[in-house]
Amino acid sequence: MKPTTIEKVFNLMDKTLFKMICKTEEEREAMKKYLIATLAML
Amino acid sequence: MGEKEIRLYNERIELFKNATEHKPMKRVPVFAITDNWALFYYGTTLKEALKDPKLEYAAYEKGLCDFAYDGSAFAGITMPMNFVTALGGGQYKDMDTLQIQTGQSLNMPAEDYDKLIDDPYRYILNNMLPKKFSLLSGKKVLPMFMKFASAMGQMGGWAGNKAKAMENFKNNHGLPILNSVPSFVAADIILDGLRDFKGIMTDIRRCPDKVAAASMAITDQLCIPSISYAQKEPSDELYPQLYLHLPPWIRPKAFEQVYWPGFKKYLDEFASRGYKLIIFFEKNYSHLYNYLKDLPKNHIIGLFEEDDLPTVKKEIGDVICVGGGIKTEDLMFKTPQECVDISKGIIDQMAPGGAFVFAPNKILLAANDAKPENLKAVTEFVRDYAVY
Repeated sequence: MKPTTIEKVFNLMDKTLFKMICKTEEEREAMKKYLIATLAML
Repeated sequence: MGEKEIRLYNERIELFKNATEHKPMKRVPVFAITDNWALFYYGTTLKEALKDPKLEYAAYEKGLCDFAYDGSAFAGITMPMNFVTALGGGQYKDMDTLQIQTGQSLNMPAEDYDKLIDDPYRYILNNMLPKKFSLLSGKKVLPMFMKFASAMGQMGGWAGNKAKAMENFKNNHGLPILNSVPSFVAADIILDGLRDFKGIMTDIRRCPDKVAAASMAITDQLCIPSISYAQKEPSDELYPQLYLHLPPWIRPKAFEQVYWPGFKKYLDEFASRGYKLIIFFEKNYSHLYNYLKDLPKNHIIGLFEEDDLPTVKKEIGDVICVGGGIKTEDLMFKTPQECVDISKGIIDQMAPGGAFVFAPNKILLAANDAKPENLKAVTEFVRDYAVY
């Protein structure tokens, strides 16, 4: 399935900002999931 | 950090730890659940404090340290509002108390439950966020990326300010802020973020199996995997916080089907990793004690708003540390002596046997949630009287 615009944005964030913040891939995955849950609640 | 502050800090951490773990306590700890009330007390506004982290800290410093608290749930403004503003949207319209009003969070049609169950991450990302936040609804990747990265800077700023404030409270006042990043129960994400109150109540009647399946999918795929980001490791100084919204409005049978499985699994996961939690049992839970008896033992401080505290202690006090106490109505409308008398009654009933934390019955949000002189009288009284 072709990624949507917002998915492409999150993929870019994953390769840049999230990579800077988190030391491991596991941490990045945890952060992304936390971020999505938080955005759902804000 | 001076010697006095170190001693105070460690004593206070031990008070909360022992209360949570059902161990002998030196005295009943007094817990602050002060939110925007601190801004009113200081004489500023949310709008002003959001522009100035130093002002925000000064307001919360006064709002916490003018009173005899042993710990606090919050170190400052509880929501990353500058981040929300940068995203363009969200459901916090009341900028004085940061309360969500009903009707603001219908972001998913009932027909989409299967999509949500199948992949909650992709569903929320693709279907909900672009509708909710104007920044995330664009068509061009690079401009959206740049703006989103900038908005994330606001989120980082908020988190950084919180961490700094917590450090200052510890070093300058020996005051623990038992606050980790807030966590969310899956069914409350459906209520508060996706279907709104009317929607989910209808769903529970018409398709409870779908609500239950969505709750478990969100628990398994979002909530549990994000625990380590919410707080990297367990600590006696940091307690992830949960705010429960749906349970008071649904019958036990519905609770058992749609809420309890995900909630229990989530809490058991936290407990198995050694975390302690603070749970805000908002409204009334007297119809659910039979379930709450199965919560993980010695890991939870439960703050109860409307339940009769002695009954809570009798029913589930051997499992969780019970928290709560004087009503905000009393703190606002009674005299200091009347408030002290009420607090004495609460301590006499609740302190025996330990595992009790004294706090107002509700989070202090608005200016009329408490008179400062009553808070001062009560916190100082409990600190001095509730000694074992």
